Amino acid sequence: MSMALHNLSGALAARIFDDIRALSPDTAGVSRPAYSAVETAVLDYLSDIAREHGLKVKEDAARNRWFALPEHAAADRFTVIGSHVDSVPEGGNFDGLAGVVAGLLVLVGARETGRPLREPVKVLAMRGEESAWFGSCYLGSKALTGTMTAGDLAAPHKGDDRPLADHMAALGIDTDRIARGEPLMDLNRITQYLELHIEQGPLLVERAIPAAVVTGIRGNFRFRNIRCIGEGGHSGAVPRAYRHDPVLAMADLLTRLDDSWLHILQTGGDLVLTSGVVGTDPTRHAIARIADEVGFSLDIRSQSVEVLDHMRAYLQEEMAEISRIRGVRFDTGPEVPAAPALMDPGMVDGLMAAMGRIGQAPFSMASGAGHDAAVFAGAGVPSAMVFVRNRNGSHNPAEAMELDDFLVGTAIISAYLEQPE
Amino acid sequence: MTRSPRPEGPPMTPTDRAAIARDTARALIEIDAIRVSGERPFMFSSGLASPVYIDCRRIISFPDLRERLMQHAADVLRTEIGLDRIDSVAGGETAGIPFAAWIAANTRLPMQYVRKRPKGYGPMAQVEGVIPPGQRVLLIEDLTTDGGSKVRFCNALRRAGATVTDCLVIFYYDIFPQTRDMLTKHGLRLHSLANWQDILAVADADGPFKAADLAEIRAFLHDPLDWSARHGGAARLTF
Repeated sequence: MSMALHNLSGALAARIFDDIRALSPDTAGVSRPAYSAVETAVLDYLSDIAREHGLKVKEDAARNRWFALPEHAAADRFTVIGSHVDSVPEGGNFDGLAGVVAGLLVLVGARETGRPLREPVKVLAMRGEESAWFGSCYLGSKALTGTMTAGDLAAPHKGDDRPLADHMAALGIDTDRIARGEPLMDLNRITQYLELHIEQGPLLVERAIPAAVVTGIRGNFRFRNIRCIGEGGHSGAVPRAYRHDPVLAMADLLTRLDDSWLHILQTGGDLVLTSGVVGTDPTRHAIARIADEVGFSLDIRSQSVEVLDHMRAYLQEEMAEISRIRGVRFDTGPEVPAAPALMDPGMVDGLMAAMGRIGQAPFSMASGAGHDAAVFAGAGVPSAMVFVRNRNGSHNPAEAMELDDFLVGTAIISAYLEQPE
Repeated sequence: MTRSPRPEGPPMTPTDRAAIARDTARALIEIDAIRVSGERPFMFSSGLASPVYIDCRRIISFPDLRERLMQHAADVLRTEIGLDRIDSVAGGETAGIPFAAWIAANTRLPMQYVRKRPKGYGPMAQVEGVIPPGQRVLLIEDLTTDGGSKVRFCNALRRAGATVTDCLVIFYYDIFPQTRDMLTKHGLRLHSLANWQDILAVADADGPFKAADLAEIRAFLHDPLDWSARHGGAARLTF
């Protein structure tokens, strides 16, 4: 793309990505745990960069960081460009961080090249979006919007088992307000919420398109650990008719879910489902022992509330049927739901038009993964997203976003927010 | 168009064959077997995205129409394949089974069915019924898009000792040039009552599609892999 079409600094973006990668190394890729010191260090680094470029920095009551042009710092109402800075363990550097860097580039571009924005814009760098650490996602945006549940606050950390509330309190966050469901900011002050994110599926790579406007975000329901409880026994001594094998019961359930998934896709429905954590207890399991219990996670996503509701009912029916025929029982634990979110049609149109103005053929798509934008949309804030082409998916060290593609995505947001000429 | 099964012998004329195709296409339209996607495309098990989906299973719920189509199938079997070249018919699980049963009843041929996946082990693990060694078996299926699953069914029958050279389906998409070559390579001839061209020929004259739907269907049929890729589906076929 022609550099004349935007006022963004690719060199600054490259520097931020490289420095933050170096700040948050893991055995492979990067690791920026939610509500950790590493996450704070990344926010501090971003604050230094912002100040260095003449931006104002503030911290909110959920210990997220805000950046603004000096003339916009005290604005009553404003656009938010937001994203998160945490990552999954052994994660990629761009998932989340790219959205914050995009916001900074828009502000720095406006300041240094004098192309004015049509209304005040604030950039929001959030904590705790990934569910990898506490099993629950969008923690930073839920805290801000007053939508965090008691279950979220009690969710144990995967490493030290202490609840999220403890980790938040350790950073000086007043979790009583969050527990009361009190929004930590006046959401009426946000005129619109924008988020840039790497695409986590293959569509843009397959279609050779650098960036796209997002029309909606899949909702999901999840169970962190469904326990299937049967009866232990000797693998050689117990005949099939007398077995209550929870592992085969789980496999039976997953096979039934897989069959129904295929049918839903064949008849035009939208669904993805995953059981990413599966295990028998290593202190008790053995090769020659029928397990007495197996635990597994379940993550079911769709753009359609109706499909999610059907799957929720189907899951319960099939678990009841398998319990009956195999003599096991399922204990699902609490369900963690997240509703699907539609992006604001006016913003989608505006971003599509901006895409045309920077010389790209307008292109839109649905988001398979959830994002903080879904939380803001759910709280009534008009929201929209831009996806940037990315190879190899996300949540792994091999995610690969080209800087040029990132600049196209950022330029869409920048052109959308600039004063019309 | 009710006719008694023709006797063996005289080959079917092109006019008869065209009448079968037209009648089958009309029948599928009449029972709403041709479904046009709404908001999202249909996703086939091959990963292909499509704006249309043909549900031949609906046929089993319409007795008169079903009988007519089964007569057509028996006609094609007699004149295009040859009753003297077939010893038995086998239905593919699940949708092929009822059609194979009706054809077997009409022709008094033996019947088997073949599973999608083996149950247990051994040569017969994927086949139910009896196959004397070398028996010449005709595979019956409701539909084929790219032909891939037909090859898997035929190979399962061959493992069970059958000789398989022909496959008869009610509907064949006939939109992938690769399919014929692939089937030839696996020693299979494909016979069908109707294909997409037959549907379009009838649809142009009698409806029932909206103009926009028809345009979308034509775009898909013209270049299915490109349409699929543009709608989030697979961009290539894997057999």
